[in-house]
Amino acid sequence: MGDPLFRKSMRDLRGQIFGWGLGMGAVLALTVGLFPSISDLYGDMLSDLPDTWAGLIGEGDLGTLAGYLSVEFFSYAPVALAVFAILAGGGLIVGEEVAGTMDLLLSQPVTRLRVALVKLSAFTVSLVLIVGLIFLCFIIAALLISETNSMRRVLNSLLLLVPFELMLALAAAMLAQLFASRLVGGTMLAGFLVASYMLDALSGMSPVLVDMRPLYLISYFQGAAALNGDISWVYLIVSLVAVAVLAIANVMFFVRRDIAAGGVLRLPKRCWRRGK
Amino acid sequence: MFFEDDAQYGGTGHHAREVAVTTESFAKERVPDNTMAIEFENLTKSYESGVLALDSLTMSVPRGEIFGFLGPNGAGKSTTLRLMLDLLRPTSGSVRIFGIDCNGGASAVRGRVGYLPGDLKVYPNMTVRSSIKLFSALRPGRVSDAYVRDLCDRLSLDTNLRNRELSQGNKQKVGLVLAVMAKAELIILDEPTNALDPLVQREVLHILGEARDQGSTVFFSSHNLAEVERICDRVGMIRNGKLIEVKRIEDVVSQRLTVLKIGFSQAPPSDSFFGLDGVKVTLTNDEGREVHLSVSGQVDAVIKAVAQHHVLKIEIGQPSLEEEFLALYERNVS
Repeated sequence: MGDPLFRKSMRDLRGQIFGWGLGMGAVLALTVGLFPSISDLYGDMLSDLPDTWAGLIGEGDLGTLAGYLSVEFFSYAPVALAVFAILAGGGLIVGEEVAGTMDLLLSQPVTRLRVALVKLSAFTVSLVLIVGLIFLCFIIAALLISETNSMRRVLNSLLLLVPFELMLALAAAMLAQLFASRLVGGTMLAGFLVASYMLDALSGMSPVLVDMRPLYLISYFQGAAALNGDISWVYLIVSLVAVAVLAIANVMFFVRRDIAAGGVLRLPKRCWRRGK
Repeated sequence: MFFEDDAQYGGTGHHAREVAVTTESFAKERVPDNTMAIEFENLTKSYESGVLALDSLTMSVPRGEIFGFLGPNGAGKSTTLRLMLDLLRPTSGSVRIFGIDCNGGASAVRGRVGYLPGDLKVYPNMTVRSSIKLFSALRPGRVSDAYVRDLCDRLSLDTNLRNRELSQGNKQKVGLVLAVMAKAELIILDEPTNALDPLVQREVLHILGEARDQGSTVFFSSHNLAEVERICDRVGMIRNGKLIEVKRIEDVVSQRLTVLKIGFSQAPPSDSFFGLDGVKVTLTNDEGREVHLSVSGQVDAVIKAVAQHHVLKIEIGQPSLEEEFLALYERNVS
């Protein structure tokens, strides 16, 4: 926490931490607040639907707060928070090069490795803080409706947002470095995420789509499943490995390449020659 | 104290007082040795597009010198400076600062270097004061509070403003303060007087002179020959990525081109100025009554030759840097 670069990075992210944390927290609190009045009605409606149509809405016992939240919040929360992850992740490494401030920063006695690690650490901490704020809003709402049984399961589900969003952010950072464009990298990743969200939602209608689940990005968020107690550890472990690999790849690439200049991100293709 | 009222990025005023003492000690304790401040050895940088930005640069700069790196826009000056800071990786060759390879020991090198980028950008949401504080915190024990305040006063820099509110000239002042505030052993500046008014330009050159007097080496790029003449010990001239010449500044001045535009009442004989050493007729107008001459070095002989005729007007000027380079290039080729 004493590192001036870390404090600077956290300061840059603070608006987004409060915005996303309190914004999504408010949505969750509102969802929780509606639970007592809507859950029975919603349950009856779902029970009348054919299984394939019910699958589109989500899986979960709507009679419990956990099951209700897996459908009503955790089905879209990872995609909503992905907007932050992809936007902030895309600028994680190349942001300062685009802004033109990287030259000044790297003229100081700091290594590129330190700069990259500080930025990755600050982003990870900011994700944890966002999740913390969302959970805080949940606690307040749950206390108001006297539903305190699901606290731990909701916390686990919220914490599972961290590796998933981190994976997306690091993928966005890597694509931004490879394509020398935050826009191209972010658009590609967002398109892939939305497509996999749609296909995953439709997978209840076709066994072929179910078999393709390992290809869907959204499958690697196990938070909704954790609420229903059937978490897939394979998906979780793969996402953690992906986080580690992407983090190492981002740092290695940044350490070895030329730094773009003049606010124009033009990275040479063969910029891996050598570096320390 | 300068840092006391902004505790976001590092030490307290007490800390700043401590570093002031440390910095003074640092300057005094700097032990000169025989290692060159900068050594370029066949340093080459080319891009995938095929552009050869720097071609086999070989030269060295001893400690305690102010070295001007002169060249027109696009000559390869900024590329050279960015290679020195390890922001770019060389295609081949090497550059060593105080004997340390910049590609291998970049962090160690940068601890001894202050740098002003050519296209300076500062964090827009920070104030000048917090920017200075952030970069001071990255060089613990190296920045003197009193010296920073002195620099800001001399450059008339308001440290309470946000960087995004600054004019280009004021941003340049921030960059200059950040580059020189640590009294680094080597100060590298990319066109330091860009966007500054003449009074501030003069102050900047004074500050660089003082840095040299305290033992620092200064390496700065410029496309302004007059500025380089005022302060540099030696000058290196680069064009199209190739070093043309390295000279002592006295030699540059003595060989500098002078442009004479002379109007005669009657056209002088066409061979009037032939055979004069270093004199070239660049243009004749008005049926030979207006003659433009370019003179390398002393103008005594040509003035005496001109005085043989009835002169209506005479204008004496300096050529553009590009013309100087062409002349140098032609001399080198011949």
